[in-house]
Amino acid sequence: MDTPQPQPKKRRISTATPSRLPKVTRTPSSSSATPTSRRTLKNPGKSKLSQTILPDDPNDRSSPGLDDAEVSDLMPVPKSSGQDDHHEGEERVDREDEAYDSANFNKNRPREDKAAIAALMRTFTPEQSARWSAYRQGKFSKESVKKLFGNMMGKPIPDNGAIIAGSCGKMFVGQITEIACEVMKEWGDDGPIRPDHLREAFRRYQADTGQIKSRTYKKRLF
Amino acid sequence: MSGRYQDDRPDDNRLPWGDHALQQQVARLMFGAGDVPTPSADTVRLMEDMLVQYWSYLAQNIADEASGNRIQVKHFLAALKNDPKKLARAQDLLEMQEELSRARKVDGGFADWAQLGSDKKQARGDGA
Repeated sequence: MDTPQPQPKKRRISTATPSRLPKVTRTPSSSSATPTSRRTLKNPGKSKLSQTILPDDPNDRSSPGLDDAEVSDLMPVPKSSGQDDHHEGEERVDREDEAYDSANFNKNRPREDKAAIAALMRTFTPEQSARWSAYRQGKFSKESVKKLFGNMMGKPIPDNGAIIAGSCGKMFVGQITEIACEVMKEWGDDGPIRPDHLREAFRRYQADTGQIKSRTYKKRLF
Repeated sequence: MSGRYQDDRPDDNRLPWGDHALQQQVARLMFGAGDVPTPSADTVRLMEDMLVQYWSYLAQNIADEASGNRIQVKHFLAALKNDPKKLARAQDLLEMQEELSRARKVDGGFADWAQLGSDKKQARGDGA
């Protein structure tokens, strides 16, 4: 069922009907099949594993399908049959907030090659396994991101938005750390990353991507 | 934020990974991305600071996209238009969330995750 565009401003349940949803198939990606160095494969830019078999980790609470959402999200919640009218309005509002146009997603974006990654993981040393699971399990909880962003924007943000922001933060930390390791190598240093390396890495990130420019600071010419 | 990086605050009482939960996660992610197993506390604090700077930059863009209205997921996606890696990751996550919510609605949708599903079904008394 297609909705007319643009939509009139009445309250409707999200229009992401099943017929419009993209069929989610995990196709082998063309680019991530090469088992390169450990650090490169940890590049946060590549898509995450979703159904590979992780090394057994007693602390691993992440499900096979999703590791950026909290575990409680995965438990199917039985919907109570009688819902108050009072709550129904709020639920509709939430669903509008969560609506997005999935038809505009880039369907050709590279997906991960799970077989290659699984094969690589069998060759890991314990230290590499530790690093891999540390990055996999590290996440910013939906609740804390919601609070932080709610404070920053003055308005609450939708749940999926918090998940996205959390993953962006995770990728950002990963990218900066990677650049900092490169900087450390260039400067011939060793051991833990120092704040100097981080600052240089941040400067390079800013220069490369043009992000994180302060809007209120104007460079004084004189 | 004052006094964070100054030397007059003693480091002895601090946890190895930083003061609070956010810093702990940041330290963990730094190890995952290539740092030593316990990153230096100063570094973690600086990284957390940069992370919040990045998030406020992101929040500014989202607020621009929303332009005063209620904040919706599509504003997040629009704010990431200049960062293809993060945008692709966001799209992956949204698709996964859709799968999850679809699986929740259909009874027996958790057939793949038999352990998860069967517990709940037994609790509810279903025959499946």
